[in-house]
Amino acid sequence: MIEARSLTKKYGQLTAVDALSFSVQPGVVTGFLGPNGAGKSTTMRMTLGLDRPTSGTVTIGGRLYAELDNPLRTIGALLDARWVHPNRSARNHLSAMAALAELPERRVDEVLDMVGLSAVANKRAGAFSLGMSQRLGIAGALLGDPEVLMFDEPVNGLDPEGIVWIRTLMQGLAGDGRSVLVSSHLLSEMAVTAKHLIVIGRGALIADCSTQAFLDQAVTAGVVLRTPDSERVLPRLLSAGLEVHDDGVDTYLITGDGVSTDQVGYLAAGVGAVIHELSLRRASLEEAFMELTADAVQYSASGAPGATSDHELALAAAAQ
Amino acid sequence: MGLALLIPITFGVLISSQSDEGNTIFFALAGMQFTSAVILVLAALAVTSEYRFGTIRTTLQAQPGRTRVLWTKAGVIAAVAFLIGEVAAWATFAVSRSFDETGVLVLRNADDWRLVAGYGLVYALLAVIAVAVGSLVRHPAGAVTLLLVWSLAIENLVNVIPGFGDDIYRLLPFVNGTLFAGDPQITGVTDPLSTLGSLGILSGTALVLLSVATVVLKRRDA
Repeated sequence: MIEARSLTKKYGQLTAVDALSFSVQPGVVTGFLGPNGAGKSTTMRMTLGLDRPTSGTVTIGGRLYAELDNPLRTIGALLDARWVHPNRSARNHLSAMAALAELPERRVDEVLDMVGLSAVANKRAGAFSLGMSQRLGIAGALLGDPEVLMFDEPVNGLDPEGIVWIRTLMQGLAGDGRSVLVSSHLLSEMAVTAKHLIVIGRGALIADCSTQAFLDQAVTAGVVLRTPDSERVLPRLLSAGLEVHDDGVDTYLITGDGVSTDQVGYLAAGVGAVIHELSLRRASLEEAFMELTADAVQYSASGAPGATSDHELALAAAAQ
Repeated sequence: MGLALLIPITFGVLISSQSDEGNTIFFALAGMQFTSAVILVLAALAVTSEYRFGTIRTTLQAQPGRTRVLWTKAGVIAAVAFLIGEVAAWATFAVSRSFDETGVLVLRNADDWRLVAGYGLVYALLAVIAVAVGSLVRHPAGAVTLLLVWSLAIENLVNVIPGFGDDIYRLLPFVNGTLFAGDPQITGVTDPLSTLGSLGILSGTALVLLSVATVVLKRRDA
């Protein structure tokens, strides 16, 4: 279990992490979401004792990283897949880590097998593709068979098969009762991987809830209505205080406080309108995310935060 | 590594085979001065390459005790430098003697022994200084440049400052490394500070720099 209490990191004037408090529970995959520069990596680096918090603490199983007896056996982490000496082979890199953590050499072969790198174990790590480097980094995280795991953008550079593999791996690790924290800006990926979400923007906590609750809490959901009798039904809806948006041929998106399919159905029946389709539209994770982090985007193209979102959607779609 | 042996031996052979008279152990081992530059570079790179490739974070993840990490590194690299110093010095001495016809390359007393065996200690301390500077600067090119300019240029320039230049020169660490493994008859430094004092200045510098590097490493983000 990871627990952050009022964790703060300042670089001069810039506050990278702002009084962040959260806890990562065992047994589920926890997604760590935020736009680029939100402070995800900085938080993870502070958890590993690499960066010194300006104030506040972050503990693993109640202890600071520096107080852990054998850190690699307590928490495994992949922060940057390039933190490998390029002239060392994958096996050498892991052997060196195993020696530092006083782990038996056979663990090296076990984790190489787990991540599917056995065939290239003796090749120099500098020649690895990004996807292979990610797998090597994951092997390093798994080396000490730790109770807590932390991955920073692990699906970067992986092919679709690799993405499915890592999703299954993380869910399997959580299923064993381990605590798993995964950061990502690929929101659709997190929707299918993580059960719980910690969302930050500009270093501050935006949401700490289940993925389902995060979706439900999104305010942009509405009711989709398809009807040939729009002349009759739309004035009725407007007079009931609802908002109507065009959403295609004979199709309308109805929004408003507490709008439901029941309410729209009764209103339409009241004026004797024919209905071809009546359904609830849930906000996508992207929309919910954009909504919540709209004020918290650190680096946005001038006046076009949507551009980033579309780009990410495209990336996510391509990754599926 | 090969360079570390090749340079002093070549110099030793050249000097010993050509001088008819006036050859000494100190002159025969003159090439060892150049090898100290190799030691500085190797020791600095041993630390800075960890930053160059980011493996320092993997290291600190496995061993969060930063004092232990730095001092262990310094210890291992100093031990290697000590070995290189001893091997290079004795090899140079042996090879030079086989080329020397004047018969002066004989170990007669403790001072003669120091002229050869002293290089191991000097190299070990140079390595510690280079490790400390490497850990402070973190960039391979920056650390190497700083060490070479400091040892080869700045310390020698101090000598030409009129008036007090000479006195400061006498207290500089790299100069004293040379003096410790030096021949008082030739360096002209015969005051009581000459040998043990020189060793004290060199090891003091190494200790202070390593302590500063330890404090900075503990405070700084990796």
